[in-house]
Formats: sequence, structure tokens, C-alpha cells
Amino acid sequence: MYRWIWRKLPGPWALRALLCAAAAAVVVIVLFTQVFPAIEPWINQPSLP
Amino acid sequence: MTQPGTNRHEDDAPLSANRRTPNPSPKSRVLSFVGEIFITLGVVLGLFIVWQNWWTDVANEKVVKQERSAVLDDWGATMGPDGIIGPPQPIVVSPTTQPRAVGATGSAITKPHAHRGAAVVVGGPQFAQTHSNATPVFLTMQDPIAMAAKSLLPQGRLPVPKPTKHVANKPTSRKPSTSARAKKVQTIGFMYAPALRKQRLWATPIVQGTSERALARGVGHYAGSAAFGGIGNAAVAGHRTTHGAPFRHIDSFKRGDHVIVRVRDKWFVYVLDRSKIVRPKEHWVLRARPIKSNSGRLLTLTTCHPLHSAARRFVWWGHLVRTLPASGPAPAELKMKR
Repeated sequence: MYRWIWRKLPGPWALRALLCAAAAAVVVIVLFTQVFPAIEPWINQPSLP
Repeated sequence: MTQPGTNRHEDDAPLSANRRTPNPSPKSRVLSFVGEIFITLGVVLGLFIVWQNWWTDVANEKVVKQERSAVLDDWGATMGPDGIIGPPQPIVVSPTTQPRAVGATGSAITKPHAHRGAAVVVGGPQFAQTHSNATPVFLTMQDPIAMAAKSLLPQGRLPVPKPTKHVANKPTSRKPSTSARAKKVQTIGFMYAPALRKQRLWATPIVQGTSERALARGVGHYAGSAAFGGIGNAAVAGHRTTHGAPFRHIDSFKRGDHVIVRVRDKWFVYVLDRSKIVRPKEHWVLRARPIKSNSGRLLTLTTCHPLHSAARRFVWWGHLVRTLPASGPAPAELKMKR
């Protein structure tokens, strides 16, 4: 999967690495601001931590 | 992965973009795909732990700062460098606004804003003009005895009972109430614990309700529990870890420590009496009289126990020792050393 992504990315090595880092940052931001707050109640089973 | 050396096309592989990797077989492709998914899930779980144990504290600190300044703006009060909130701005009631307040009293019975009507009756017309954040919840009980009797009844599902009208959680007269605003978490006051000042249980926002969203902002006042300073048991929940962890050091409290609550117009000074570790379903701890006390005005603090677990609840009970108007000096207990 990651190799496939790497192959599909354009440009030289440095540009690809930059794009990968940017994509990873976007994923982390989405996880931190959207996904994790949404799933947190579901992970801490009782409603009162 | 194929074994290195078994499938070498390094010299004649113009199709392969990466010359170091041999052309994998379909089977190994599937395997490495599945493997990468697992690795990804592992990384995401690791990120979740980072988020929960670090980022929620960072986010909470930011939110608390915003919330404090918003509420203080609303109260017209300022916070000293010691974190102690000064007196609220006196509210000037103009003759044009007063009739509206009286009108609110008239419609108090049917409207969800009934608490405001009650506030008008008890506290004078100026309270009808206050922002709901600032609505003095302690003044809003319509019939203290009936309320006390009601909360004495055993309630199996205490943490989320029907909203009672003495709890001020409705939006404001200043801005129109939209559903988005109604859902907004309301800050009703601030909590100070001199014994835990260094641990930053100091000017901690008290929000209405105990939802995840509410507890991410501060300590939460259980819906349906008594108002601060009111007859009955004002119960509060807070995180032990994560989201600012206001009650992280709840086990450092000692009998006789003070917990001070500031709402817009009042300071309430409680003194802690007893603690107990209970199971999560022991709702009796929130009842109007969970402990023997000569005071009918109790405070309950609940949080998780042990640290990083939700298996038990750590509970502290206290009782009200005095109430001071916020217009005067702040209670001396704030500065008291243990």
C-alpha cells in the first residue's frame, strides 16, 4: 500500500518525502480534531471518567 | 515478502520503479497489504494514546483560558494575578428593560426559562437581565423544601435525571436562542481548592452537565443535583486524567480542606468531610443526603479511581460553611494554608 503510494507520487525523492510528510500531518490533524474526540466516549466505557 | 534473491529482476526491471524491490507475487502483495494495515492501526492507536494523555490537556488549557475570559467579560469581572475573580460589575437596570423582566416572570411557568422568572422574584429585577452564564443558580430554587424532598427520593438513574427547573442551563436573553447555542456547554462558575492550588484546581470552570463535551472543559455539575449553595447535594464530576484532569489529585484532599465555588454573584465556601471509593453504579453518593451531616447543603466531588482507570469512583463530600456576596472581598479561605 505505502509502496504503491510512493510510486504514484510525482517528482524526485525529496518532493515525495515532503508530500508524504504533508499527508501524514493532515491525517494526524484529522485524527486529533475529529476522529479521536468522536470515538473517545466509545473507548472509555463508562460515561464518567 | 518474497525471499531476497529468489526473484531478482534488478538488472532487467524497467517496469519496477523501485529497483531494490523485486516484483512481489500476488500472495505476498496481499500479505504485505494486510501487514501495512495492521502497522497503520498500531500507529493510530499509539496516536490515540498521545492524543488522550497529552493533547487533551493542551486543548483543555486553551479552552479554559478562552472560557474564563468569555465568562469574566460576561460577568464584568476581572481575575487577579492570583487567579481570584473580582466582584462582578453591578448591573444597571434601566426603566425600559424592567418591564420585560416582569414579563418574564409572568410567563415563567410555561417557558423553559422558568428559572429566570424565579430569579426575578427572589433576587430582584436585575437578575433577569443577566446572561445565562451568570444566572445565579443558587437563587433560582422555587421551592427549596419541595426540591429537597424530591431529591431525597431514591433515584436509580441519578447521573442523568430529568432536567429540573432550578438548573440554569438555558441560553440568554441577549442573543437569540438557537439550537446550536442551546447545545453549547455553559460555564456556571469556577472552583477553587486552596489545598490543591499548586496542582491547578484553581479557577477551574464548572460547567453544566456531565457529558464528555462538558467534562472536556472543566468540572461538570450533575444535571438534577442541587444548585451550589442550595439545599440538597450539589454534585460535581471531573476527569482524573486527561482533558486537564481537574481532579487528578483528589486523593490529596484531607478532611477539613476547603473547596470554594464562585458563581456570578456569590462565593460558596465548602469544607470537606468524608471520602469514599465506590463502584461506578453507586448513585447513592449523589443523593441529597449521602452522608450524615448537620448541614443540608452538601457538595459532592466525584472522579475516576484508580488513576488511568474507570473501575471505581473516588468521592469526596463536604458541606457549606458560608456564603459571601461576590461584591465584597473574596473569602479568606482562599488564602488559607492547610
